[in-house]
Amino acid sequence: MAVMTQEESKLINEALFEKLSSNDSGLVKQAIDAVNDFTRTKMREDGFFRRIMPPLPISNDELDRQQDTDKPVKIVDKEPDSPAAISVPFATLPNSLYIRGPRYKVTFDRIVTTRFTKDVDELRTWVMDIRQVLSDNSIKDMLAEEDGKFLRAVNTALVGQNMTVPTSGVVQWEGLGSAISRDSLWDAMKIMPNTPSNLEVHTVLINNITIKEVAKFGRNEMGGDLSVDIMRSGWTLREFMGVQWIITIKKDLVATDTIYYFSDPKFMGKFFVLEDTTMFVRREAYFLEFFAYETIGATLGHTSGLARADFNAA
Amino acid sequence: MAFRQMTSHTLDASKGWPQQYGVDFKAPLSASIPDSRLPVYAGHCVRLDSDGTFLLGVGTTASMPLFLFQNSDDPDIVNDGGDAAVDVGGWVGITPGGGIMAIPAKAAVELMSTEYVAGSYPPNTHLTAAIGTVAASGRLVAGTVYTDTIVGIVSRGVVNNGHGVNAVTFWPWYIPPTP
Repeated sequence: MAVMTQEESKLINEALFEKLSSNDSGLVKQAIDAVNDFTRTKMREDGFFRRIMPPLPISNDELDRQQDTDKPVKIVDKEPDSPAAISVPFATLPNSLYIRGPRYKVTFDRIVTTRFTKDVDELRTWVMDIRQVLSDNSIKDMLAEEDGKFLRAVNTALVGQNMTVPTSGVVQWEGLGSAISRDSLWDAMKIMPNTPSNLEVHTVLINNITIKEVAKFGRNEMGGDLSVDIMRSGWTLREFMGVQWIITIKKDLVATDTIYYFSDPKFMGKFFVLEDTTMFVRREAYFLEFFAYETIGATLGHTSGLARADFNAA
Repeated sequence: MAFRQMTSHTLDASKGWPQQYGVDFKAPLSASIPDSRLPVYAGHCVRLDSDGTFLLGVGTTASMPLFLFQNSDDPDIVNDGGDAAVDVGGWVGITPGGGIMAIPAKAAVELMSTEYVAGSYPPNTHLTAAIGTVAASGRLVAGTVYTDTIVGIVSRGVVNNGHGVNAVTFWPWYIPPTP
């Protein structure tokens, strides 16, 4: 999103403010739509959950009705496992297996921000973009909730450091005794394909402190002039080691010396958006109040598409 | 699995809710509630523990009573895909977040709960709810002022919840166990 000058912000504010103050419901809707467009764009750009598991819109028709509740639920098929083929001598027949199709459930809840209130006359003195005033705190709060829920679920699925995940039968959260190096980074990339599903890493999630350990790689470790470029310009790569890298400042969620690995999203599960991020804006007399909300549902249906490495683990 | 309709266990507000600025409250159930006592149905009376999670009933504790609006196993509360540390082929819900909405006893509402101990509840009966994790824990029952923590006062007695299930109607009210 391009950075605006103060003059441009002021012009947008005046237009938006005029619409919000109007008695014409069409103009008020235009103002709210402008805030919503701004908010949704920022949501797409700033959250790591949405970049790792891109959300899919879901309509009422696609929901699966349940007998015991009227709350939205979606049932998703899992790819069934099957025993490996075997070599046999002549005069024998294959073993039988009755086909069963496992499924998983996606259930929904709503994320809401605090209800923010402001006297409109105090807003007149603001020179920054009012859409930003309305949406900045909301977006930050909603993304923190989305990203936090995602990583809590990932940690639950991975069971614990050096513990076997029952579904894959292998450890998918390894504590590596070594510091980050060319060798240990590649060793960590082996964790996910080591499961029976043989999935390869598609996306790496790392915090803004740990990435500097990677940036320290010398010419020998990094390979050629890349180390010179990084030393000169800092870390600007979005792809490295053949996969997408996401660098987050959320150190409370992604600890330093920890790297998360994710497969292609289609092997992880589903993230549905039933109601996209929406800003409720209401003006009553001289008070403006607003809050944002969204209804989403997401499940990690296939846990083999997840891995975690803790470097410098004791 | 026991028979259950979505109308079998309910908390309804006959008056005073929903409202935009209502003082409803959200928290998860305490992990100390054993599986044998789950699900905890809508309409149970709960209190907050020091971790900010819900425990069943109030007994004689000086705690603000709250009344659960959702069942603890509703799809907007939990997506139970098994125990990832034990179950093969399970799944892990990213949503929902696990918090249950509850209406505190200080809200200006009239409530109607299907979760009460069988008995007689004429208007003005003072209600309490026992603590613990047995079947009666958290269910409304007649109490004694300044002996039990009072969680409400019966308004219209026991009525049909609109779906053929009996429910006790009451105004939530907090009276501590000692004056």
